[in-house]
This record gives sequence, structure tokens and C-alpha cells, in this order.
Amino acid sequence: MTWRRDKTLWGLTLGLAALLLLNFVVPDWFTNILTLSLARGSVALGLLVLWRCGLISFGHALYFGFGAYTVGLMSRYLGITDAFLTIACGVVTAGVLAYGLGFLLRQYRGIFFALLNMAFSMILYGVLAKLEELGSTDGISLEATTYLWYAPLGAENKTALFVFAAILTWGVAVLVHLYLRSTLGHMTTAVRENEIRLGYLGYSGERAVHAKYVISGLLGGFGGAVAALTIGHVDPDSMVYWPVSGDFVFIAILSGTGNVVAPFIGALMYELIRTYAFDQFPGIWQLIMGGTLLAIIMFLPNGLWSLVERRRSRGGPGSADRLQAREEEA
Amino acid sequence: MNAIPRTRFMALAAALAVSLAAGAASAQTVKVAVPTFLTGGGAPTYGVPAKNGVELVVRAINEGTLPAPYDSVGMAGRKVDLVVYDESGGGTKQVTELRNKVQKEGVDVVAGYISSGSCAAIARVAEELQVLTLLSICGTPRIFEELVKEPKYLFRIINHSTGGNVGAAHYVVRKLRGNVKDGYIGINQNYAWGQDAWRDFNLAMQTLSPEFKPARKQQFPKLFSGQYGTEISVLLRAKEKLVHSSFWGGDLEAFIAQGTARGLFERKTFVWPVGEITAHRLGKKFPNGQLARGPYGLYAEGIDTPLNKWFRSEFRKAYKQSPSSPAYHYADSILAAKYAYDTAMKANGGKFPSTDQVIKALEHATFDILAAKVKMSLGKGHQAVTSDRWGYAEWDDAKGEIVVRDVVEFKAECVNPPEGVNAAEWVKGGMKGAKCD
Amino acid sequence: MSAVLEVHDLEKSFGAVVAAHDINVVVEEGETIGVIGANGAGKTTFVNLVTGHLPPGGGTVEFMGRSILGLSVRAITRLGLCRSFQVPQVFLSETVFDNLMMAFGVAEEDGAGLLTPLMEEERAARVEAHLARYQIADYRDVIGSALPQGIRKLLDIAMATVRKPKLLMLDEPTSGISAEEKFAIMDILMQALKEERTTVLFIEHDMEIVERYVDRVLAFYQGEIICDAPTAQAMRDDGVREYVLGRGHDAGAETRAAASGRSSSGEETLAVSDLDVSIGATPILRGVHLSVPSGSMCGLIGRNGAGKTTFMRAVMGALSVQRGTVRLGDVDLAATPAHRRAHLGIGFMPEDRRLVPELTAEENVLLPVWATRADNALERLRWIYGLMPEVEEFRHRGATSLSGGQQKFVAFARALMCGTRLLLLDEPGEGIAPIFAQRMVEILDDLKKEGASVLVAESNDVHIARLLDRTFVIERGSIVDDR
Repeated sequence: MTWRRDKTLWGLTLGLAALLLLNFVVPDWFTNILTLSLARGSVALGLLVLWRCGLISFGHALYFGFGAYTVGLMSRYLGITDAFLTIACGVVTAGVLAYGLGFLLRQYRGIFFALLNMAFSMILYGVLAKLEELGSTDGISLEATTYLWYAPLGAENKTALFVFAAILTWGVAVLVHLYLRSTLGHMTTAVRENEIRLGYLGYSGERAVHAKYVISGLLGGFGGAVAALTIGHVDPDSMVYWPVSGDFVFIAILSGTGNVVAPFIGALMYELIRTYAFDQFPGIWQLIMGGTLLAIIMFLPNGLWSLVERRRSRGGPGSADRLQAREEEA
Repeated sequence: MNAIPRTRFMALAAALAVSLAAGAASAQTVKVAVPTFLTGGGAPTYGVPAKNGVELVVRAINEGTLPAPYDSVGMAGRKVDLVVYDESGGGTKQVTELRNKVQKEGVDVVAGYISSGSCAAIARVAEELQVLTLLSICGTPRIFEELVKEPKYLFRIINHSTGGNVGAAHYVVRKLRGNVKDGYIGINQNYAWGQDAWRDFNLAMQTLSPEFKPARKQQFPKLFSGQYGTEISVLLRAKEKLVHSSFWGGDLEAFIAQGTARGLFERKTFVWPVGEITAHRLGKKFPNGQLARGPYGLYAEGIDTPLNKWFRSEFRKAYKQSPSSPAYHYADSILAAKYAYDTAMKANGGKFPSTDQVIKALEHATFDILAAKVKMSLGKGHQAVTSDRWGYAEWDDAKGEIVVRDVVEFKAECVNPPEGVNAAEWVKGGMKGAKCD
Repeated sequence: MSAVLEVHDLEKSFGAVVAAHDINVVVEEGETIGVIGANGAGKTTFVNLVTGHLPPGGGTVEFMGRSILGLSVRAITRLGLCRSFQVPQVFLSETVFDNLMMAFGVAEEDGAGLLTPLMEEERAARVEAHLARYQIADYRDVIGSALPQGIRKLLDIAMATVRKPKLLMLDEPTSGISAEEKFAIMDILMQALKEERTTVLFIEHDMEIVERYVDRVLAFYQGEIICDAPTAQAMRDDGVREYVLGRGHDAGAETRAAASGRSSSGEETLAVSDLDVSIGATPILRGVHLSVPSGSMCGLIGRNGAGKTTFMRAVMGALSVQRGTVRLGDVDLAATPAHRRAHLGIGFMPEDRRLVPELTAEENVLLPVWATRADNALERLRWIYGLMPEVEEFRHRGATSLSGGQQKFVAFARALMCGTRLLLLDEPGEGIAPIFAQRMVEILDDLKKEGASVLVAESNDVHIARLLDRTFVIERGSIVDDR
């Protein structure tokens, strides 16, 4: 497939353009929700990378929080508020952590992998909540974000951050899309179904899982760093605590694993549903969220993306339908 | 399977789009948003009493049935449009919600917040959004000392946490000399609040009576640990008879249950700076000891201002129980908003005031809350100080509720640092400038 | 010619079981070697050791003059030593094309190259060529789970040859393939391998295949190589005849008996006709006819993987029947829910015992009557204890504290508890010490005298032949002999 014929790349680029234009028409609070969706969507994208190989993490708030706290601590102790530098550091530290933990986690699959991640995220939570130097439960408030020499204030800063985050997220999504087209990116069924065969093809399942884990950690760190700048505050309860990891899994289920665009659509839907559930049913909004999740699992087991996929495959030689027909023949 | 979900999805999307367009505030009300815990562990202890207190007072304001000086209808003549929403989910969610409330729904005043984490997270955002924000409970002094040093929109209507722990030390030194002669020991949760509370209490004790010594090692169990077997053993073995504990909520209830079973409270005297709410809940099961912090909740019993009498009787009538401190704090924040709006209107020649005028009216003001007088004297006129009441809590069989005895009231200037002095520095430096009797 | 693989003094044991002992093999370039031996003789272990799947206990392994001992599967594969599997290991939810694409991608890329696009036109062309060479291009877009067994087997081997290995190890290339297909598939395979000049070592049970395609034979017995000789010579070797081929083996002389044609005298307790059973998409049983006359002891004899356990499980209702009938007297078992079997008086002793670990031996024995609530349970238990006094001795011990042999007895007793009409015993003599196996035969003998209707599955009938009234030989899922 060439660059020109790649629908996803076009979709991503059009999406970016739409977002940047949208910025002029939507109210400020919506811009804020969009930026947060980009951040959370990035983490869910990291889950997608793992999910395609049959792995699910109940602890990706670990990387989200790690990225966010890197940004927070840089602001607090080093006075560094530059968006380029803080996000880069947030991504790198999360990646290094994922690389280190990967040596252990790559040996586990299924529920053990999921819960071991959760255990690590809760260790980070414990440390952050305990140490006053790291802000304890109150967290750390960030100074206003700067962009190299550009230091906007107030609402202008939020707009700048949105534009900046949108462009960066576009880049991240394109990179992940290219990764998914690579040999490693295609190593999904192989890891999920048959690591022994993969070994005898000449690559080890553990290495593949490790590489994918690092990618998902980098994405988690990126999402955390962007979220920290968007919120202007980091705290353990809303960045690292286990329900935060649950939210990412929620978004991943909502989105489906069909395409790199899906997690961002899912994250936006999640934010919108939550916002309105929160407004309309203040006492039972969690119930609405749970109900939504249940409905998605029952009616759209492959997530919101299956709505796009279904439309696309109708009439055309969509692989799923054709294969099913073949299967029935055989 | 094919058609149904898409239809539902489209319906959902349409519903979202419609509500996206709605939400502009009506111009003829003062829209007050009140964040409090409606779900999760904080709801029954803090959130619901707080919500009840607010709703009671707002109803009375809209009907004009509050006692003087708040007996006019509405705030600056306009009815209050109350939006109570959930504070659970951590700082990130609170920041997003605050943006939604201000930018989407156009609220004029935000009054509430229980958790210090929420306050710390939203402090700067409230300033950025330029919305009048009255913090109700969250105790950390860092809000105006570190996070927002030049506050304009952010206020807090009660003492910060330092006052409660300094008051505790004063009470111990004055009333409990016998219990503290073998020194004192602390058991506090290992996070910001617990660490700060112990530090303030200990330093205040050392300033007031250096002859009483703290134990060599204090207990700092994990937050939400719920199991205190080892800590209780250490306390039982310790020679110190006086124990300082800033536990709260579920941790405090678990600690009391486990300590009662082992006879801990017969052998030690506890100082609970935030035990009032738990005393409310446990009633007879709450061990006798000292509690903080008045003048609210249990400690407001017997304060004979018309406002307090009205509040206690109406609250009992409406909710079949006496109001606990969160009910007081939240109601007090609403009163502060009403005070500010009414005063600003007067200054504005009877016309409805701008937000800037409301803020001007509240800065450095002195006004009545339910059971005390508030002075906005710290944090450049944005942080309140009030007096602090201490006393023994005891179960009264005849009344069927907890009563407080041996009450001592400490003046606001006695337990709070003077303006411009960092609370931690003030306690460390020997509480210079405190004006006690 | 030069040595591709040199193995010296290779050792491996699992606990007390010696899986490989004193293994010495030299494979020369261009050879085709057959590895034969009974189940559990150590053939697959040998492949697993050489390819790095299992860590060896000792010895040396050199591949192309370089020691590969202790290297990972990945590293050894990358050196050009590849293998296929007895049970095809393909990616079941991907198409044949995608399976091979992945194989080519992994073979051709490493390190940063893994991050370059997989779907290249040139690579796709190589995949198409490979599909053609193995004659599976017709199945290009069929997913792995939907493939016929033979094609799946070919795909498995095709994936192993993507790297153009210097040495290819095939584990039973024709297992699971029907007798009709086996030569056709082997012809395709050997032709393709010859084109690539691949040195091949394959494990095979089927002596027809061995004699037809193999230059040299390695015969394994109990973890040792008992014969290493050119094929014709090996087939005449006494050791090979004794331990591998079995007594009276006459290669090529197996005839397909018309199993359905023979009807037994008297009433039939179990009557199975024309039975087809598949697991997933893989057909396991094909048109099985079998009957157990009342009061007779019948044997179902066949090597591992021939379909014995599948047959038992199908009768017990644990697998669904695709075609054919299974009747107990006049009850249609195929239409009866699995749990009703105990009520009908069928007792089943699974090969792997399956005791409830939390219960005692006696509780395990009584388990079926807890469900069926049979009223004469105590009487029956006393009769069982009379038959197997050893079970009474340890009846109060927990199931987990029993030895493997003792557990086997408990499982046997449990089957007897409800097996008033029919007993199905899956390899009662398998995996237990000879002394227990001997005792098991004695019990069967007693049982025969009691007039029970029994079907015993075993991989060989050496010990029980004299007890059997009738013997069904099963091979590749079909009854090939009925005597």
C-alpha cells in the first residue's frame, strides 16, 4: 500500500484539520474535553497495541501517571514548563520504566499480565500518596505551560495547548499506524495464538510482547504528559489510582481495536457520555457509565469502530464476510 | 443485530448534540454550583450532610425565611439556582467539571469541595476561569500560601487545618496536664494531611509547654489501610497516655472498632482534630475523648445565636438528625456568598453587583456564619479565621446523643498565624503574634 | 558430504524418567532420515532438545560446525534449523496467505527491520510462489481453523521451510492425515523439499511412509537409539522388530476389514455405527462401527492419536456426534444429555483419572451415586471392595495423597460404581508401574468372570489379548481390523 492510498493516513490528517478548525467554533470547555480525549485516547491506543496480541493491562495508569508526574515534578523542582521538553521527558521516562518492567511482564499472559500491571500501578500510587516531596495526596500544581519562547496566558494558553497536542497526537497516531503495518505490528495473532510457532519462525513471543509493551508505555507516558498540561495539576487519585486504569480499558472496549483512529473517537465519546451523565444524573452517573459499557459489549462487541468497519465492508470484498463464507463452505 | 445498535447509537449521538447546545444560564438567578461527594466512601459521612445543609439554607434564602442579618430574599435580590454535583473521581475530573460548570453552564459561584486534593487541583483553574469560588472544607494551608499567592476569585470560609491542631495543643496544655505528663504520641495517616496535622500539633505543644515530650517514634500507617493491629499494640505498650490522631472517615471508624476491642480507649486519652463527623456517626460507640473543631456540628450545641438555633431546629425537622460539621461548613459558604452579594449590592446603590464588586465586598470582611463570626483576615483577605472550640465528648443516655463538656473557646487570633505568615513557619517559629487570653 | 548436525552423548531426564540417554547422531547434508519408535520412546524429546525448546541435561549439539547447546529456539531457528509439528501449529484465525506472510516477514527481517512494512509486493510474490510449491494456493484465503487436516499439515511444514533451512525436522508429517491422502501429501512435500535441497529428519509411525521416503532410520526405545542403519537393514533389525514394530508386524499387510459387515451373536449392549466426530474443524473419527455384545469384554486397540479417547468421549457425550448412531440397548445415546450416562448404568474410567482432589478415595468412588442416588450403593461398594481389596485399605486417604497407580484404581472403582450395564476403560494400564498393570489385568479377569460388558482401550493388547472376546483395531480414526 502506498502513502497515497492509505485511507487511515488520510483520515488522521483530515481529522487533524477538522480538530484545528473546530477549535474556532466550539466553546472553551469543549476544547478542554477534546484535549483530554487526545490524551486518554493515546493511552487507549497503547492498550490497542497490546490488545491485538490478546493482552490487557489493568494498570496503564502507571505510565499515564509516570508521564504526568514527570511533567509535574519538572515544573515544581526544575521550573521547566516548556511543552516540548516536558512531554519528551514524560514519554521517555515512561518508556524507560516500561522497558525495565517489560523484562518481568513479558513472561506473563492473560489475567496475570493484567493484574501484575495493576500491582505496579498501585505501588506507584502508594509511593506518590505517601511522599510529601512528590505532592502526597494533594498532588502538584503546574506552572503555566510555555512553548519555546511563546508563553501565552489564560484561555490563549489552553488553545495553544490544544493545537500543540492535536499536532503531536497526529504524529503519534501516524507512527503507531506505520508500526501496525510493520512485521512487528502484524505479530498479533502470532503472539495471541501460538508463541511456540512464532519461536520456530525465528522470533520469540516474549521479545515481541516486550517491544509492544514499551510502545504502549511510551503512549501511556505521552497521554499522561498531555493530560498533566491540560489539567494543570497532577494528583495520585485521578492519575494513578486503579479506577483510572479501568477508564482506559473502558475506552479501549468502547473504541474497538480496528484502527488507530478508534481510541480517539472512543475517548471523546467517553468524555461526552461522562460529562452528560454527570450533569443529568449526579448521584448515579457511574451507573450510566456501567450501563453504556454493558450495552457496547452486548450490541457492539468490537466497539464503535465496527460501525465504521461495517459501513466500509458492505458490498465490497470485505475480508471478514468473505472469510466467513469460505469458512461455512469448508 | 445489524440495525438496532446503529439506531441506538444515532439516538445517543443526537441526544448528546441536543444537550451540547443547551445549558445557557438564565440571567435572573444567581447560579451556585456545589461540588460534594455524592458517590463513593465520602458520600454518607461528608457529602450527604453537606448537601442537606446547603439545600436547607438555599431554600430558606429563596423564601426569605433565614434569621437576620440574612432575612432578605435571594442573593442581591435574585433567587439562587442550585446545582449540586459529584466531587468523586479525583482532581482531574474536578478540573474538567469546574470548566464544564463555568464555561458550559455559566455558574456564578462555586461553593464547596471537601477533599484537599480537589481544592489543590482546582485552585489555579478557578482563578483562570475567573469564577467566585468559596472553599468549604478542604483544610490545607497551602492553597493561599503556595498555590495561589495572589488570589482574586478564590476564598475559604473556615480556618485552615493549622488552627485545629494548634487549638488541640492549647486545650491539652490547659485542661489535660495530668494526662500528658508522661509525654504524648501520634498516630496519623501517612499522607499530606496526616503529616501536616502531626507536625502542627507537635510544634504547638513544644512552643506552649516544652516540658512535655513527644514519643521517640510516631505511628504513620498507610492511608486507607483499615488494619491497625500492630499500631494498637505499640500504643498499648507506650508509656505516653495522650494520643494525637488526625484519622478520619472509614480509617477512623476501623481504628475505633479495633481499639475498643482491645481496651485502648480506657487506657489512653485521644485528641481527634477531625473526629466530630465520626462521633456523629458512631454515637454511643464513639469512645469518650476530646474532639475538634468547633464551632460547628456537635460543638455548636448551646451557641445561642438566632442563626444557629434556626439551623439546628430546621435541620432536625427536615432530616431527623442533628447537623454534623460538613452541614455547617457548606451552609456557611452559602451564607458567605449571600453576605457578599447583599453587601455588594448595597455598595452599588441597590443595583445587582458585578463579580468584581462581590469579591471586593468579601475581601477582608467580617460577618456572621451559623455559629460564629468570620474574619477574612488571612491570604490577602481571602482566608477566613474563626474561633476554635474544644471539649470532652461524652455519650448522654438521657438525651440519646453525644454531648460536649468542659468546652474552651480559643480566639481566632490565638490559633491562627497573623496575615502574611506561612502557617508551617509560624508554628515552627514559636507561634509569634498569637493573641490568646 | 559434510555433517549438518552432530549430536554426542545427549542426555535428558524428567524427574526419574529418562527421556534421552547417550544419544549420538550425525546427519550428513542431503540425507533424509526417519526417526521411529513407540510412543514415549523419546523421538519428540530429541527434536525438542536439538531445537532448543528443552534445555538438555548434558552432551553436545553442533549444527553446521557450531555449538548450539543452550541457544534459544529463536537463535537456533535463525541459524537454519527448523521444524514442523505433530499437531500443526498454524495461526488459526489468519488466512493461509497471512500465515505465510508472517513466516516470511519474521524470516527476512530482524531488529529495526521488523518495523518496516510487512506487506511488500516482492514479499507477496515470494509467498505466492511458496503457496504454489506446496500446492496450497487454492486455500490462499482460507483461515487456519477452516483448513482440512492435510492442508493444515502442509501449511505447517511450508511455514517451517520459509527460511530455506539447512536441516528440517518434521514431527510425524502424516499423523492425522487419512490413509488415502498420505502418499499424495508426502509426494508434494518431498518434491518441494528436494527442490530446495533440504536435509530432512522426520519422525514417523507409519512404516509404509518410512520405507518409501527414508534413506536411513534412527530407532528410539526408552530414550535411547537402538538402531541407526539404512532403512531396509533397520526393518530387519531384531531390536526394531521387537520394540518398535511389535510382534507379528507385517509392513504393508494391514487390510481394512469390513467392520460393519460382522454382527455379533446375541444382544448388543453398545452399538455404534457410522460414527463421525470432529474436534474443531479436524475430523477425528471417520465412520466408526463398533459393538459390545452383552457380557463380553472388547478391546479398542490403536496407537496414541488413533482416536480411542475421542471415541470414548463421544460415547460419554463429552463430544458431539456429527454423524452416525450410538446406542445403549434401545437408548439413543447421541440424544441423551451427558450427565444421564451414570443413571443409565455406564461407568467411564478416563485415561487421566480425574479424581476430585478435595475428597477421600471412598468419597471419589461414591461420587457417581451422590448424583444418581442409587439405592443399592453400599452393596455395590462392598462388591467393589471385594474385587479390589487394595482400594478398601486406603479408602480414607485424600485423593492427592495417593500414588498414580492407586489413583488409577480409585478411578476404576468409581467407574464400577455406576457402570452396571457398561464399563468404558480408557487405557487402564497406561502410565502405571508394571506391578500395578499386572494387578489391573487380574481385576479385569475377575470382572470378566462376573459377566460385565466392558470396552477397554489400550495402545497395544499384549497384556490383555487373552481376556478379549473381540478386538477392534483403530487407526487414523477408522476401525481397520475387527477380530
